[in-house]
Amino acid sequence: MSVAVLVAPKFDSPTEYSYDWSRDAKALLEEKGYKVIDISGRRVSRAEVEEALKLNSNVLYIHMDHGSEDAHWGSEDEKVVDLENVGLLSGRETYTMNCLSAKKLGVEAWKVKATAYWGYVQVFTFTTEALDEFREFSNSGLKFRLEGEGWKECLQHAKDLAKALAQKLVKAGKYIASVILQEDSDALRCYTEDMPPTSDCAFRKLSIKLFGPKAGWKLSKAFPVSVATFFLGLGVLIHDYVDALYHAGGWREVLNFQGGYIGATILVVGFILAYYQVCACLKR
Amino acid sequence: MKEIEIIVKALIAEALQKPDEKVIAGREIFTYKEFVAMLSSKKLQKNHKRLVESFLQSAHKMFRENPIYRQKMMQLAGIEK
Repeated sequence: MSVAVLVAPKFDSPTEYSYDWSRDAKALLEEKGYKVIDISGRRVSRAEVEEALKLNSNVLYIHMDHGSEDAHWGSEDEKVVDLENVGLLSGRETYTMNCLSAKKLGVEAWKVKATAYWGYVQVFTFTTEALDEFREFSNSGLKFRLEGEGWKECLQHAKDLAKALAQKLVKAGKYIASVILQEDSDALRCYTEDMPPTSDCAFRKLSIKLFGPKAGWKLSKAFPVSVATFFLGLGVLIHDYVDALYHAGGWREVLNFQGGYIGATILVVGFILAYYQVCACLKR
Repeated sequence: MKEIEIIVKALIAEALQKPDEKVIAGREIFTYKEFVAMLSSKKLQKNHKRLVESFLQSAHKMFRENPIYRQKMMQLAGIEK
C-alpha cells in the first residue's frame, strides 16, 4: 500500500481554511488507496514531522500552510521542515500549498535530489469570495498526479485550470479574486530532474547557462568574485611586468618572447583546469 | 487615464460593493476595502509593497490580455457603459 504523510496544521484563521482544504487532499489520497499519516488540525511539532518522514522514506509528503522562503511551519514559531533538515525531502515527492517555500527550500530540496517539489515562489493568496475556486486550484496538482499524470503535465493542467477558473470569476464579477487566482498560478512551480529551478538573478542565470542547472545552482556569489579577483590580480601583474619591460628596452623588449608570458599563460590554463574540475564535481 | 488608474478605480468600486469579503495573504487578512486602499497608497511596509506590486502586475497583464476583464474594468471605472 502506498503511504503519504500529510501535514496541515491549524493554529490561526488562514490555516483554518487550509486545514479544511487538506481534507479534500486526504480524501483524494484515500480514494486512490493511500494510507495517510495525517498530522493535522492542530499545532504540529518539528519532532513529529521529522519522525514521520524518517520512518517513511521516499513517500509522498504534503504540507499545507504556512510557509516561508526557507521553511514549512507547524505553528506560529516552529518550522517543521527547513534548510537544516531538507535532506528528509531527498528521494521524495513533496506537494505544498504554502507561501514562498519554492523560492529557497524547494530549490534546496531539488539540490538534494527530491523527486519532485511542488510549491509557490510568492505569498499564496486567496479570497473569501471564491473559496471553492481556490480550493480546487490548490489541490489540483495532487489530483492530476494521483490520476497518473507526470509532474510536467500536472503543472500545465493546474495552470490551465487556474486560467479557466480566473475567467469564470471574471464572468461572475469577482475581479479581485480572479487576479489573485491568476497571480497564484503564475507563482506556482514544480521542480523535478527534468524541470530544474530557474532564477531571476543575472549571475544565477549565467551560471546555469554556462555550467548547467546542477552545477549552476550550487555555485555561490563567491564564484564570480573569485574569478574577477583572479583576473584583476593577473591584469595588475601583467601591466607592471610589461611596464618594466618597456622601461628596460622599449616596445622591442615588450614584443619579444618572454618567460613571464609563458608563466601567465600557465597560470590561466591552470585556473581554467582547476575550475573545470570543480564544476565537473559539482555536476556529479 | 492610465490603465493602472482605471484598474485601481474599478477595483475600489468592486471593494465598496463587497464590504464583508476578505483577502488572505499568507498570515495576513485584509478586507477588500483595506486591500484596495493599499493599491494607491505610497506609504507601505516592504512586504505589503511587494504584495501590491505583484497584484497590480497581474491585474495589468489581465487587463491587456483578457478583453472581457478589460471591458468589465472599464465599465466598473465608469469609462465605458
